[in-house]
Amino acid sequence: MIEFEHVSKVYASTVSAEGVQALDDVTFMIQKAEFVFVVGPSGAGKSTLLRLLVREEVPTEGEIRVGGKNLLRLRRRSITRLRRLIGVIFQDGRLLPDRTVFDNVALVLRVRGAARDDVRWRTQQALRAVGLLPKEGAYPRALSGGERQRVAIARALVREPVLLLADEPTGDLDDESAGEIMELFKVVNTRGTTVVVATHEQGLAARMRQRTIQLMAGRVVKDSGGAV
Amino acid sequence: MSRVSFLLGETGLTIRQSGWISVVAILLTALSFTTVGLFLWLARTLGNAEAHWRGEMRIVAYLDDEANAQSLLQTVRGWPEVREARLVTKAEALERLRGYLADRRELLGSLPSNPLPASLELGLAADAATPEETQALAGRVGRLRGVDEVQYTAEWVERLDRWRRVLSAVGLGIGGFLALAAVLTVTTSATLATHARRREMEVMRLVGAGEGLIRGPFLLQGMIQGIVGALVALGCLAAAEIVLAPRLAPLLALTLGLEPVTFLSPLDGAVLLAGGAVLGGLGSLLAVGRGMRP
Repeated sequence: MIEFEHVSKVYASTVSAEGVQALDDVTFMIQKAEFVFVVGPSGAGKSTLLRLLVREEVPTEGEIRVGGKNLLRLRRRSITRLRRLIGVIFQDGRLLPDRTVFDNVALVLRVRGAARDDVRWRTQQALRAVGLLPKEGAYPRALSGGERQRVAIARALVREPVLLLADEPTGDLDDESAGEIMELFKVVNTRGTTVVVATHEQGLAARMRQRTIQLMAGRVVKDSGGAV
Repeated sequence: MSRVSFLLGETGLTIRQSGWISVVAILLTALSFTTVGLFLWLARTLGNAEAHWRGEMRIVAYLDDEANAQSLLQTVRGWPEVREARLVTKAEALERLRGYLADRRELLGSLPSNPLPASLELGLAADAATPEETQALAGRVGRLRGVDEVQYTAEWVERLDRWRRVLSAVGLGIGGFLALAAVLTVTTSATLATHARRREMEVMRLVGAGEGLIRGPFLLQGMIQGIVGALVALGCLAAAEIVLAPRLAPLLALTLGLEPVTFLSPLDGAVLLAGGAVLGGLGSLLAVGRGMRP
């Protein structure tokens, strides 16, 4: 499903001529329908790894394949098609402030031209799954941090993605809510969706008893599901 | 269909977010098109007058009393530059003068004899109705035996033509300048809108929206601004027609011999609307092409 082959990513920097090394020679493979945690402290390269997977960034070196396709060789139209298969939960939620909870989630379906009834039904299903259906008419500014994160999760799940990428999805949630979200991810995973969760909470990954790829300063230092 | 309604919804949002700059873009487009419309109307009016008078252009050859008028008439009728030729006898000339003098005809009673010469009035073929051709033909007529004097008027028709060209150029120049300002304002409006919605576009790209769906609203915004501007211009020109046409009609009839005063034909309206759409679309395209690299 996902292959990282000697991937490095260096961001340009005004401070250093060499730039900032976010990922350094990262190699791993994730099978279809796997549930994988990418763990590591802040700055370890977790978010960069996810951004590379949605082709928001391109690697400085190495190759990334998703579903057998080399992301570097994809044309713009193919990138759009790829993104339609991926549900992404961003660390900052990236909700649109001037749209209601319902519209934020429905956006994903509307850009694909889904029928109005279908949009309504699937959006409400997704909001029900994260417990936010009663707040479908609210704007993001009226929600708590945890609620906003759950809207982002609903938006990622509404299209039943083949691959779900979550960047610190439980960062603003209490333990109980975090547990609920993880259970939701497990349900999604059992339906065949590959799930990749980036988190700094090693305890959370340990509790879930799933494969864990540990990053440190941009390098893979441990992979519980494969050789490093 | 749902994608179209989504696109239209996004366009509405973009226009609302653009606020006052959208209004400025619409007003500049309207000003530009109203200016071009007025100058083109003036130019077209002069063009109509020119065509009218070019059709009426004549050479008058006054004959001396010994001239063989019928023979001269046959001669000039054989020339290809001459569309029609008519002999005006001395008696007809006097009758015409009587008609012109109307209530002062008694002045003619004191004349011992008819002093007016017979003349040939030549109407010119369409391709000969230019100053050069008229002058050449007049010279040729003047060299005929029995022709005493030749009169022709072509210069002022050419002067009309020159004015028409100047007005067209000035109108297109000012209109073009204003149109450029309108395009740049639409571009600014679309650029501001793309900045205001940058985050939204990022999210849309990441959830798999195609570039057409992301850029489309900005293009439509520009086109709608252009069309609304053109509609405002049409309204201004229609108002000008209602207010000015009744006042201008007698003046134009007297000076240029033109009867109807029409500002805009339905075709003009359609061209104006299409022009608005193109102008607005172009402005947005500049912004969208420049500032929206994924």
